[in-house]
Amino acid sequence: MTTTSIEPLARLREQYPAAKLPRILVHRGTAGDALRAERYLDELRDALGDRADAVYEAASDGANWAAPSATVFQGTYTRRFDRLDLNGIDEVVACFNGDCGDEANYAGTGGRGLTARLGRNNGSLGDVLAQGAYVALDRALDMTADQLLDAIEAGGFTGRGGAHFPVASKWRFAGAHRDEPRMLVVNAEEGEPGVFKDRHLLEGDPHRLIEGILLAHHAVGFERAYVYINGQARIARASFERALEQAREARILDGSAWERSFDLEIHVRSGAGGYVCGEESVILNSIEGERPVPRYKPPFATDRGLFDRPTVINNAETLCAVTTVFDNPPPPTKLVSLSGDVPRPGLYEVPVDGATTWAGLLAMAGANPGDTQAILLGGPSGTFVMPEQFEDALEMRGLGAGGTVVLGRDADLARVTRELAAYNMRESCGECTPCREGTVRMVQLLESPREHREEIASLIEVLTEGSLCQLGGMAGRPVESALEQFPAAFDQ
Amino acid sequence: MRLMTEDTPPFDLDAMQDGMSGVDALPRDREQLLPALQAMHDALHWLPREAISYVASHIRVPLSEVYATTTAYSELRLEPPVPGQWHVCTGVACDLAGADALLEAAPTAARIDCQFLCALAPVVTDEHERLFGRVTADELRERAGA
Repeated sequence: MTTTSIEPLARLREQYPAAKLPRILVHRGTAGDALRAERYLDELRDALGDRADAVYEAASDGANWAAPSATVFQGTYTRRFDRLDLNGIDEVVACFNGDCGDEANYAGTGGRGLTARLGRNNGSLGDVLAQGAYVALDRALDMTADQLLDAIEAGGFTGRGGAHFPVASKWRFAGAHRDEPRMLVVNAEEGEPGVFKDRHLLEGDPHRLIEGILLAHHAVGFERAYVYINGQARIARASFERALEQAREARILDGSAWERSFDLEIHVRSGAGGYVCGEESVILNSIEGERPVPRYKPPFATDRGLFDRPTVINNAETLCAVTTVFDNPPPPTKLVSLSGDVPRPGLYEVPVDGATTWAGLLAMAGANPGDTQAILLGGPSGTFVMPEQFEDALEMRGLGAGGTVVLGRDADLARVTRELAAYNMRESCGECTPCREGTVRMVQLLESPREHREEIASLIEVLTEGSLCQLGGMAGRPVESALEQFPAAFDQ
Repeated sequence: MRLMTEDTPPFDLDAMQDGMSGVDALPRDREQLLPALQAMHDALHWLPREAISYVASHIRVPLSEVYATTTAYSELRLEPPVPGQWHVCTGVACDLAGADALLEAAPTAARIDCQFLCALAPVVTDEHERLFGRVTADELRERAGA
């Protein structure tokens, strides 16, 4: 081959140019639309008159606290204008016309990591190509599958759905079944209360997930990929399907843009509710048209998964993360969905570099550690992080799926604990006895937990050891954590 | 669970026709069971017995198994939605942000589990499942007409 690797990408960029500057992106997506951000599209277009075509809609950039918002891209700088409902659009228009005030350098241009393109593109292929989409794939295609797997292993990538299993190992397990058709399942069900990261990724940068899928395909070789998206995340699904169509038209999906043949079918499926549907074996049953209940393990999915085929199940964030494999070094970050009693709730890409602490995370969100009673980490399967731990460094494994709710001074911790137990009871699928009966019993015992400490401890053991899946297996965790950390809260 | 009897609420025949067309467009494979139920649900906004029977015969799965599957998914309704029904999210973040006050302000609103918009708590949904973030009691009272 005489062609150099940059050529296919250069051709694509020429064919699909980015939208020109200056321009305004109005942040919609689920978060923007919940605050009726669409009206600012009209207002801005009216205000710009014959330059109305410089106003585009974009997804959320993760800064939910700022919504409804719009970002102006003007020459070499960008600036996001927050809370248009309070501040109006005058400053946005002024900035578009060249007067951006003193804070003109606010957001910088493009960051690193998974969120670098969120809210910075108008949903066109050209925009994301200009911002680095498919560069990692382009480079990986010059490598063998083993070389790519080695690079992913060296980058230390682990599963971001919560289990943090090494990505390269999982891919190798499935890839070892050379004589059988292999399956990829992308878990974007995201049914854990308090988590909203995959929605942001799919709404704001769906091409990153497609690139991750194609990287996995290059490493393992799949017959089919199923992308399983939460049933309520309709904007995420529409955005992902639009991106698939763009990638198909640009001959990225079939590989012919690189003069290759990828030979991969990609199917999109929606879930239909239920916390248990985020459990990976439940997704397999759901896709097969069976009742959505967990499966026994072993066999593990990498040996016998979807349709009894060797199957890789990866969280959407995991596959998005893998696209940073050639960054030097890959950014050790985790998406954290942060809500609760903080001034700036939203999606954060947090460095997990050994230097960032819980107090640092609170500071990012504008919260004072002194006003925080606890941080609920991991929702109904989670634990409480207490003030004495706030100076501890964040660890990738310890962050689970990254759902954090900050419980301020006035939060009723016992009530939160009881609500989580009740949620687990409602969401138990009933397939196994420990969870079906145990979660009900837990709610009863929590009415007077101090008198039932031993029974609760024993029940937690039964749930942990005897449940079929991790919904039941981890249902006792918040209760155990609560009774250990703040038993007095249950006395009132 | 409500028994299916002669009293099954009426459904919109045009919507049923749309749902049937949606189901007909799908291959008759077991893996299309959930997509077929969703095609019906998208058209009718709930699943009357007739819709479930139609899916069962198209996918060629016993009706009992289709019911077992249908009842396992919380978003698939077996009763027609209540017109004008608002829901208040009661996930942890919304609970902290005052979901109770919203339920008091709009007594006809119902509770609903986490809507995954925690950073814009408190969150409510209207009868079309449209999300509204950072809702105040006054705003909900006005919108829900309570």
